[in-house]
Amino acid sequence: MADAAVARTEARPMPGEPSAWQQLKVNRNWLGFWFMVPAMAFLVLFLVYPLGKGLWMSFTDARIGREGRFVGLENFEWLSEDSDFIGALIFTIVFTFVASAVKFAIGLYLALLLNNNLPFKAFIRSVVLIPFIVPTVLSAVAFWWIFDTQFSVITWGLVKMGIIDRGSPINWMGDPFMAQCVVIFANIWRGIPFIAITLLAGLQTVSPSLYEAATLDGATRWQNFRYVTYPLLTPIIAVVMTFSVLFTFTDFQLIWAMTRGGPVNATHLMATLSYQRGILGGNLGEGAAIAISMVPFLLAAIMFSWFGLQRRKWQQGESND
Amino acid sequence: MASVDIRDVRKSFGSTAIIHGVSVPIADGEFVVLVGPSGCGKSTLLRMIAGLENITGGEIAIGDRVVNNVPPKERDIAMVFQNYALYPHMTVADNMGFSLKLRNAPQSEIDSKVKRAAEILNLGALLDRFPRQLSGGQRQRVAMGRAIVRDPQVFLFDEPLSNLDAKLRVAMRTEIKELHQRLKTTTVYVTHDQIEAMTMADKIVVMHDGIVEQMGAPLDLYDNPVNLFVAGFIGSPAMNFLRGKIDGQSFVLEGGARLPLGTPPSASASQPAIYGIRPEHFLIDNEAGAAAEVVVVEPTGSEIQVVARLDGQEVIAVFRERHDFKPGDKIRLGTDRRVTHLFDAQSGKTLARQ
Repeated sequence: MADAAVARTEARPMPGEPSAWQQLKVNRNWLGFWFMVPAMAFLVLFLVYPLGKGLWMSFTDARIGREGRFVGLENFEWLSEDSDFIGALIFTIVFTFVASAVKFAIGLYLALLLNNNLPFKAFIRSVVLIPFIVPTVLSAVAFWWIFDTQFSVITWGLVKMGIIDRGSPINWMGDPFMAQCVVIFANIWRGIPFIAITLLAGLQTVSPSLYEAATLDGATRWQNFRYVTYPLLTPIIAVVMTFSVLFTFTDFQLIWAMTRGGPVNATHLMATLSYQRGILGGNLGEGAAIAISMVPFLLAAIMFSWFGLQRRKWQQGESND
Repeated sequence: MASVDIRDVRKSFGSTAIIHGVSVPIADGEFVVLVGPSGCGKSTLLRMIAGLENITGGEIAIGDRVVNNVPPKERDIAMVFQNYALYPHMTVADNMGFSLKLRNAPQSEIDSKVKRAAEILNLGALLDRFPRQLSGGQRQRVAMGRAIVRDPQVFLFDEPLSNLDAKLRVAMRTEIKELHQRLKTTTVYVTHDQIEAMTMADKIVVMHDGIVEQMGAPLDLYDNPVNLFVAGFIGSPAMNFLRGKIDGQSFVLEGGARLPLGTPPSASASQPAIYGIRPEHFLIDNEAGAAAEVVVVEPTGSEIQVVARLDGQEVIAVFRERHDFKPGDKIRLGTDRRVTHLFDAQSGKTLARQ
């Protein structure tokens, strides 16, 4: 306020040096800074503050309704001996790895398929997007029913086909390994459209004459993919897989709606375990510690894509020196 | 090297016929230019030779082999695309050697062939560059290098110079012609630019609306066009066409002015016709010439182009001499009766050539 008052008194045209405040107001470099302030305020308020608060809480023994004391790394020490946490950590990594790999393979295949001249192309493309549009919880409920131990439509189909016996239905969500497979399957189903449509957009930027040239050069369909499509698609693959890995690693909704981490904590991801311990269990400090434990993995994924994303030499526009 | 024989080739996309029966014999080692306005089917015809489009009817033979059902890679042809179609993620050397790599040629053979092509095209210093780092003309040369390395039976060029600026286009024109004289590979070259066609071709094929209007040596087409379309398409500035009728040894324009005529066709006296005269065949004839009024004068340095109103119709005349005309000047235009053309007013076909 004082500064503003000073500025007002000094706003008269002056022949000499403008004041520092005057410079801040008119200098072009500072102008850019002022334009960034609102965005920075949002980021600080909604990103930096919660992250900082979470980090702080992970070093305390805070519980719901109690401030908590600083306990150093005690939460993390506990966690390192907690088999549920170790299990969730391992399952999160497996979950992310398997789901991302399958999503990439099927997504790429779909994108290549949709890039051809199919009848009803626009219609098929929009159909592919459906799993992406349906609210997660809704699709999770659908999967819940599909894989319900008693009412599963798959079990029903297998019984009708005579593959399994009516008396011994498959315990989809009751068996730990089965439940893990089911949630991975659901995540894959949900994640494919994002990858397929993004890769399709990338494919459409490849000039058809490159394929024609390669065909004339003697390339088979596979060689066309191997030497033309794939290398030209790598930048967009790097982007889309980074996002896919981040989304998959931090998945919460799907697990929570389908299994709540059960049976016997077999399908807990770090996000769901953190919620269960921190919010439902009331151990905010411990929940925060679990959530913070995810950060190194996410950072690693980002760093990986950062180096993967660095513009390849052939993409750089260069002068003719 | 091989001859290419195009026999009554037709092409339809769905129910739309694009090419209605085109026959072009191409001799071994010949440089043939397919020329015509956009949409005439010339690129489609080239793509059918390459195998990138199916042939709806007729036959295309390369050498003695009918290739209608032969996949592109087995036709032993190389194509230079309008946008060059260089692989952006490969260096110049990799671009040029790609076809050999696909054939599993040994690396030493790839290297030596790429090196030889690079020497022919002056690309030696650029072999490690990526296409983005090259200028338009350099990319064009890499695209040609890719074709040369293949050592194919036939070169196909699809409007290769249209992305270059005017000066470079002239230089590359010469380069391509030189290359052909050196390699003597049968070449089919598509362009919409009649100057490219005139300057480069052994044989020009003028196409229009999916048919061949005329084919022949460049100067033959220039001197003896068979119809109005070819007469108007070949030559720049385009031939002047004047409406009127034949009257003995002269041609009477609609407004009554008379222009000289060679021996007129016997049966065509006093029928409506179109008189064709190239701009460079006008001359100033102050005694017998037809009266005209100068509208615009456009000096190009080597010549002056004069737009004049002759008997109510605008004509373009080109003079090598430097006349000092001004808009509004009255001049008398004559023509050399040996180089006039006469076309049927209905069919557009040439009536007589002098």
